Amino acid sequence: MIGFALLMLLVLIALAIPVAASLGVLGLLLDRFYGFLPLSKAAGEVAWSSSNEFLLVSLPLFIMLGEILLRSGLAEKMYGALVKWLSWLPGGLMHSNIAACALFAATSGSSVATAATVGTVALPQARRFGYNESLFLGTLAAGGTLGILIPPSINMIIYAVLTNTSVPKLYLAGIIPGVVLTLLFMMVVLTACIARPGWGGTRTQSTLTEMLAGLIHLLPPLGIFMVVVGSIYAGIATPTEAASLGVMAGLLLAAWARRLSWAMLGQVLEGTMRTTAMVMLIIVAAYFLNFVMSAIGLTTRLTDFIEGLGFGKWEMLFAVIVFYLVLGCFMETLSMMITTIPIIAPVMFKLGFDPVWFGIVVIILIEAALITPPVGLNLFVVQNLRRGGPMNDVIVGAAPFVVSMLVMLLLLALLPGLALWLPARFF
Amino acid sequence: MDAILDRAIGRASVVARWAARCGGALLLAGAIIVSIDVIARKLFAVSLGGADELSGYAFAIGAAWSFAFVVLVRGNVRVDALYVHLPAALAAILDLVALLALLAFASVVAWYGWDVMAGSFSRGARSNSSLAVPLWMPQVLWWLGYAMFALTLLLVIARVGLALLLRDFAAVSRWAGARSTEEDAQSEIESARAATGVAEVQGAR
Repeated sequence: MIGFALLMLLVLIALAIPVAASLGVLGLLLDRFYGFLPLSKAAGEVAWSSSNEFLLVSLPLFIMLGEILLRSGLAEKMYGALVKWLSWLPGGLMHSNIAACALFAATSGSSVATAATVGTVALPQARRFGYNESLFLGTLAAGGTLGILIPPSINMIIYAVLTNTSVPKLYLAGIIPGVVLTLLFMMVVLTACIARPGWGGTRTQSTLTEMLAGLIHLLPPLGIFMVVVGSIYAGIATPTEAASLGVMAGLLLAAWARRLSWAMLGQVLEGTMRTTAMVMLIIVAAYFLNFVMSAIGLTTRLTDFIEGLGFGKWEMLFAVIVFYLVLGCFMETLSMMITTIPIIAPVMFKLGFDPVWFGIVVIILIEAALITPPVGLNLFVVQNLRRGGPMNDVIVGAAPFVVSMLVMLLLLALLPGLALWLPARFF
Repeated sequence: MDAILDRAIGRASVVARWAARCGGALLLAGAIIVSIDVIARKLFAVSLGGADELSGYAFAIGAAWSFAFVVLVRGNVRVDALYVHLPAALAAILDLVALLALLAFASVVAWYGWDVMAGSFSRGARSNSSLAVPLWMPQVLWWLGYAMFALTLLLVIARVGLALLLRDFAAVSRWAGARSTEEDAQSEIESARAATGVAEVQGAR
C-alpha cells in the first residue's frame, strides 16, 4: 500500500499533473482500492471545514498585505535610506540589498515578493556602480528568502496549521535566526569583498544629515511590523486579527503615499485571490488525502515505516535535511511543505524535537529550496529582473548563501536556544 | 467550432476575473469587520461577536470563487522538471490529462459539496455561535464556486480536446500548458515593476 501510494504520487507529479489534482486524485484512488467505506463522500465536508478555519484566514490576508505594500512605494524609500547607512562597508550596496530584504521581510510573509520588490529597486544600481554582478544578484535572491523566516510568514502559518503549532511562538522563534542569518549573509559579502576588492563597486559616502533624514523612511515598515507582529504579543490580537489590522494599516499607508486607487485595489484583489486560490486548492486536496490516508491506516503505516528505518534522533534530522535539500531542487516550496510535513513532522516530534524548533529548521530548508537550481523561484525572479545574461550568474552568486543557510542549520542544532529562547520569554 | 469555444472561454474569463475580484472584496470586507471588532474590543471593551466566523465564510467563498480564474490563467502549480523535456505532442496530451485530473477532484468536491449544503438546509443546521447563521447560506455561495470551477474546466477541456484532435499543440499550450518557473517569475516581476514605477528606468537603459 505504501509503495503503491508513493509510486502513484511520484508518477502523477512527474507527469506535471497539477499538485492539487495529484493529491486529490491519489486520495480518490486510495479510497477506491483500500477504503472499506466510500470515503470520497466526505470530500464535500472536508473541503468545507478546511476552508473556513479561522487561522487559515490569515493566509490570504498576508498575501493581500504583501500585494498592497508592493504597490505602496514603501520599498524604494526604505532602500534609499538603507543605502545611506550601509554603503560605506566593503560590498556597499550589497549590504543594503540584504538589509532591505530583512526589513521588508518584517512586513511581508513571502520570499518571492521580497526578492521581487527589493530586486526591482536595487538592480538598476548594480551596473551603474560596477559591482560584481553575480554576487550582487545572489544577495537579492538569497536576501529575499528572509521573507519567510522573519515574521510575518505565510509558510510558518501553513506549518502551524499542518502541525498544530502556535503561530505566535513560531513568529518569535523566527526573529533571532532571521537576524543571525541576515548577519551571516552580510559576512559572505564582507569576506568576498575584502578578498576581492574589485567586486565591491564604487563606494559612496553619505553625510550624517542625510543618514538621519533617511531614518524617517524606515518608520513605515517598522510600523507595519508593530501592527502585524507586535499586536499579537501585546495580547491585543490573534494572528488572523493581526493580519486584518495589517491590511488596514497597509491601505492607510498606500493612501498616504497617494498610491490608492480603484485600479490599484482591483490589481491587489486579483493578485491576492490568484495566489490564495492556488494555495487553497492544494490545501483542500491535501486535507482530503490526509483524511483518506488516516482512515485506511496509511498514515500510521508510513510513520511506522520511517521509524522502522531505525535512525537515531540526529541521523533522522540529517536524513530530513538531505531529503528537503534534494526535493527542494525540483519542487515548488508550498506544495513541498503541504505534501511532506504531515508525514515527517510527527516522526520528528516523536523523536523528541521541539515542534517550534523543527518549524524554524523547515523554514530555513524552504529558503534553501528557493535558491537551489533547477527550480528555485527566487533565482528566476532575479534572473528575469536583469533582462539578459546567463542564468548561471544568479545560481553561482546565490550558492555561497546556501552555505550560510547550512551554517545556520548547524547553529540551530548546536544552540536550539537561538529559536527557542525568545518564545520561552513570552509563553 | 473552435471560434465558438474561444468566444465562450473569453466570456468565461471575464466572469471568472470578476468572480475572483468579488471574492477578494469579500475577504477585504471580512478583514475590515475583524479590524473593527479588535479595535472596539480594545478601546470600548465591546465585541461585535462573530467577526471571526464571518471572515471564515468570506475566505471559504472567496477562495472557491477564484478557482476558475486560476484555471484560466494557468495558475495551478505543476512540477515541470520532466515536462519541459517532452516533445510537444506528449506535453499536449499531459496538459489534457492535467485538466481531467483537476476535473475529477473538482467534480467530486462539487458533487458531495452539494450534499453538505442540502444537508444543512434540510436539517436547518445553524452555526454553533452567537450569530447562529443558517449554514446553508454561506455553503450555497461556496458551492457555487466549485460548480463554476468544474464548468470552467469542462469548457477548457472541450477546447483543448479539440485542439489536440486537430494536432494544434500551440493552442493546447496556450490554454492549458504548464507555466514555466520563468513565466511565474516574470509575472511576479511585472507586478513589482508596475507597482514601483521602475519600468521606465529599465527600459531606458
